[in-house]
Amino acid sequence: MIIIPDANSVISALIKKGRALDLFEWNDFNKEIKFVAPENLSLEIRRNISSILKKSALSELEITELLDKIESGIEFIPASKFEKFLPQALKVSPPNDFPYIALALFLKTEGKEPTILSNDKDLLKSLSKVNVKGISLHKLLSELSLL
Amino acid sequence: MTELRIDISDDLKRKMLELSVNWDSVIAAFIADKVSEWARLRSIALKSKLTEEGALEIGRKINEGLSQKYKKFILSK
Repeated sequence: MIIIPDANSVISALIKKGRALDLFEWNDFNKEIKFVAPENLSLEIRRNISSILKKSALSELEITELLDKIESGIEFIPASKFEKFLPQALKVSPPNDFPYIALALFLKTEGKEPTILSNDKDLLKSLSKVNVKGISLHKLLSELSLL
Repeated sequence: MTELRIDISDDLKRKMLELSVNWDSVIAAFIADKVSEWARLRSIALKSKLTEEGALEIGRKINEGLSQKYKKFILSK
């Protein structure tokens, strides 16, 4: 199973008793999901550390430790691989979500069946236009019998 | 102490036997490290005051920055 987690799915792992952390922990042991993401996602998350610090009240060291572990289970794909699909994705997706759709379209041309993991209803709704699967965290956890 | 049985491929077994390693200790240490690593991460997350709304807000901010980066990438081509 190939899953593209959006930014919220990754950040949700930092919520107290959040279920996203359960998912990344489960997969660290089970290795049943291959997580892939646009490479700049990691950079953008790091650029927003100050917002995470403010809202989580965790230390920068603690946030970094959590993020490092979560990101170690994600393969970050360079833009050069999926650049061809960026303009098409830009047309059909909600304004700020097109990099995930472009990556999914690229993976589909490789014969893979990626699913975008998001709790954003607008993003999930837009996926049917490009024949890309989407799933909410709750539904994924339920499918994996982790709820 | 308790015993743990694991299944491995014949090929992996052959490669393991080529090395003079106490695999029981290696595997036990690996499991202990992994379990304690996640226990530590969980204890960190338990202190977090981040809410679902907060995560959504930060996620949107990250997505905005991410999309700006890739829009610039498209324009540079």
